[in-house]
Amino acid sequence: MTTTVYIGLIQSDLHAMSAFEVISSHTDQLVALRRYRTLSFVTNAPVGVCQQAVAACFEWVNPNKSRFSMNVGPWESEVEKPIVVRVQPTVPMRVTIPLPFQTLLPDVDEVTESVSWVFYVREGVQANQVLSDWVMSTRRGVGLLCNPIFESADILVGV
Amino acid sequence: MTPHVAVIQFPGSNCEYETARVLSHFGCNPKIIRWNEPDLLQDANGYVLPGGFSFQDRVRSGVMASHLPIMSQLSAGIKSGKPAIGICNGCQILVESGLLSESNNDQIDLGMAKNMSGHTSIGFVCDWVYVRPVHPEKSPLLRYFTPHDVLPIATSHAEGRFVLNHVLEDRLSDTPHWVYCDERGQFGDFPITPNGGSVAGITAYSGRVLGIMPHPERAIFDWQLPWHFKHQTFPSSWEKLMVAFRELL
Repeated sequence: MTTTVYIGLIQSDLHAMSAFEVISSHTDQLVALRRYRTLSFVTNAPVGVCQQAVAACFEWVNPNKSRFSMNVGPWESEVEKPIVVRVQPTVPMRVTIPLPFQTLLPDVDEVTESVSWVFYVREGVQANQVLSDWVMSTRRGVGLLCNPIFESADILVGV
Repeated sequence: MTPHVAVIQFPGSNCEYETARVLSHFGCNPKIIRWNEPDLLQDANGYVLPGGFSFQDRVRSGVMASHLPIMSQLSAGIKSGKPAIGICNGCQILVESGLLSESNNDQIDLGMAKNMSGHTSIGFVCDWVYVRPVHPEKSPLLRYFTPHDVLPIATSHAEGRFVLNHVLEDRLSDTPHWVYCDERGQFGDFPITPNGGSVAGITAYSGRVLGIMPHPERAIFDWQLPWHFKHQTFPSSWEKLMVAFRELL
């Protein structure tokens, strides 16, 4: 079973702020943007053990010491319905497995890394539109979140 | 009159002064121009985009700088035939702005991916490596090199793996470029190749524009080379690049 961990950075995530500025210069439909470092690994261990392993090496996965979760979110409020797009290298990018992972999850032999972008958008904006216009665009003007030459993008959560 | 070279300083550039020093040594007249002074590019006879970490490498190295207004003036100058060299982050900015792939209609056809060894991310690599030119005779910037030249050079980047679409990939065999190699000019895996791809630099616009990931300005004088190179004799030098650049201005 593939387990995914979403690691949120501190509020002032400069990558997200700059990306927001560039996208906002082309559209007024984007309200906010968050970025999560995303680690995926395959394991048969129960969720609780996975959480233990991630918590044990939390400092390693996130030196900014913000938060991590086994689900994307939580959202800022109940009424929000963000769109989540994951950008990952076309060739899976493995990261070194830290010691707590090796000890607590001995069956994990590979951890891959990607980035999940959470878009808070105005009502009526569709996930496909976000993906094609702001993320996967092949034009240099706006499509800065995913370079289609070596990355792919897919919708994880859509309205 | 000494030709004037614009060394473009982006927020986060950190090699502009050493680059200007090298340009001065070879008879150019470098002027460090800030990213928010695009009008000052008009008088330049050539351009150098120095290394560094523009905009903290946010989202992807070079992508934020490639959206700056100054890139329009730079693009116009390059398309009018002026020579340009992008080093490290400068190379990444040229890639992201489409100037290293001569991209028409704004298409994305080239990218700089993260350093990898096999399928494993290896992060930032700072080391001395060797490179050699391929088809130097086809580029006015590389014309003083020969295909047998092997040069030591300092490399220092985390996102330096050239990824080309199939059109550029097909064209690469005829394009003057630089490849990583060992001291005998042979290909090899990491650490001979520090980022998982064999290409170290690519030329464009008939060889008048060069984007190169390692730092020639850090390997141009003997005193810059580390001690383990001191006993070696290199038949070639990065001086050839600077002399050719000076002649193109």
